[in-house]
Amino acid sequence: MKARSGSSYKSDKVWNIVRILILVAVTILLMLPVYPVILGAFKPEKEMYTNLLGLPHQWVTDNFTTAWVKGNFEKYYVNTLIITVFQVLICTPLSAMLGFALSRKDLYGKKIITLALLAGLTIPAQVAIMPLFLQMKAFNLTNSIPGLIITLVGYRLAFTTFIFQRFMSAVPTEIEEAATIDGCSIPKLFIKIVLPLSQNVLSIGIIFNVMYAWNNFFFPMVLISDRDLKPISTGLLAFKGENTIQYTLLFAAIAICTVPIMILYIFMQKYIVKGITSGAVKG
Amino acid sequence: MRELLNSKRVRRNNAWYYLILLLPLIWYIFVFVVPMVQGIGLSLFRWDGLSPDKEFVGLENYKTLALNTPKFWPAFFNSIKYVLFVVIGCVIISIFLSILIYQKSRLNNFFRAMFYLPCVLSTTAVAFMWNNAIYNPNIGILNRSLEALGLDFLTHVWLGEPGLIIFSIGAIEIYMNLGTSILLFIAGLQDIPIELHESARIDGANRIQVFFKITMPLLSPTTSLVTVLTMISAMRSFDIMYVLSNKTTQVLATFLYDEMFTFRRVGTGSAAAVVLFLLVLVMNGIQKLIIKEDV
Repeated sequence: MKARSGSSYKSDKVWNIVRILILVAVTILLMLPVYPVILGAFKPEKEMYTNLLGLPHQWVTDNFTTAWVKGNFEKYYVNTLIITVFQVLICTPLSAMLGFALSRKDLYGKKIITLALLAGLTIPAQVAIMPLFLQMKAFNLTNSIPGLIITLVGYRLAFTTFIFQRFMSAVPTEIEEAATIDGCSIPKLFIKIVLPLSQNVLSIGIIFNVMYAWNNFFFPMVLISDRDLKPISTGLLAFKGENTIQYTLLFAAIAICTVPIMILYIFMQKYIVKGITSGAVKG
Repeated sequence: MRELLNSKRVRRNNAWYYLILLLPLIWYIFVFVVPMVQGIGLSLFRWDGLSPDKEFVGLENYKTLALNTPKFWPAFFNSIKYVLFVVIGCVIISIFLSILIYQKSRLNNFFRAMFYLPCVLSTTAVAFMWNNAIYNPNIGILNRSLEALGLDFLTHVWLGEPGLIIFSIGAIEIYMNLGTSILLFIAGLQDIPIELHESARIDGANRIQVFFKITMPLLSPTTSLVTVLTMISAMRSFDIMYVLSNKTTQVLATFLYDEMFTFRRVGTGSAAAVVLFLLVLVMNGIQKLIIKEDV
């Protein structure tokens, strides 16, 4: 539309105003479930019934302290942090390695590995959940944070590998040939040349894994029942079960779980949005 | 000679590649491939998940599922309803919104970021947000605004009425999938050369004609991709349903979880899981037939 701005359409200005009005309306609609909850966390309980959408008439913070203490959120937070950090620290290099190996055109067995990875993106996790649970139990890895990390890494490998593979396939094979003729070994080529070239996808891979590990619900629900080992995703559900119907308390708990990731998102949104719109990440 | 050296080097290099992919591959096989194959295998056994004796029953579990498990078919059709609702809703809304913001501008960047925000929140948190702020019969925005508009007859217990809950939860699923779909459509729209729009407009086509005659056909690879991705995620969606439904209404994903872990009928549960997987494949196939474009 910009390119045409010289040759004017009369309707363009009107259209632009309509467009922005629609966008503002949609933004408000999308925030409708979020902001009453965040604001509600600062309200006394009785205000919930009379004043859901407005600013609190009386700002209170005890909802947060009560929810934090009652809900065991300190533990949930620490667990979530550990899970997220290790998931990312393990999954990212493993996927980069796999993506690198698969980005070579002539690799024997590439097809079957790719197919197996694609299966990981399509087949619902529910198909494998019982055997996975039993296998983890056999290795004493249920009700264990390392066990959950191992699972989350495994289940995220396919997704992250494809991010890397898509990018690394674009690295010309001439670079590899030239490097190896000069006596550069493959691991060196990977670490010294291909990885630095992949910096952008690397950060995208990390961001998407952080969001995955932080939010995942299904695996901790199946693998972890011990209250002190839960991450915040299942911890929040447990909180709801333990503290029936006091809206403001629940809202404070939700805020505790979501506000940090929202703040992180504000700083990272540029990379995330770019990651998807540039085609690096699909889904 | 040179060739010999070359092939030697290639072979040595290949060995390195295998070494590099060994660890991630073993990890993947351990966590994903082995349990997956076992899971499909379990659908052929009768087993409670605890006792050492598993009884091979062939396809008996599938028969039991189809004929003697009253909860299976409702869950099956709920899954299909849910997926259709989510895919259609998500694709239409995200095409519309992506067209509004696909051009590069600061303001559009802001809206993109806002639209993607729900995608980074945890499903449990979003489910609770909707449950309380939107659907709650006492304080929820939905019923209150309907009352304020004088449309009292439209108010519902959104998460309580069996015919409705699939769509109420589907709306949350759309809400959580919208951001990704919009961004994928933006990527697709940016690939369409602007000259095509221009010349069509110069030839006197209006916005709507341009959209249906030029944009939509050129966008079909993206539409196809978004459809498949949304379908897969809606089909295996479990969290929101599990957190919000009162268990009287189920989709396949929650049904099979109950079978396996609550009722300890691992065989029929696994059979239902395989059905779920087949549904994904079939829907994928149908979709590819309708939109003849490979992703």
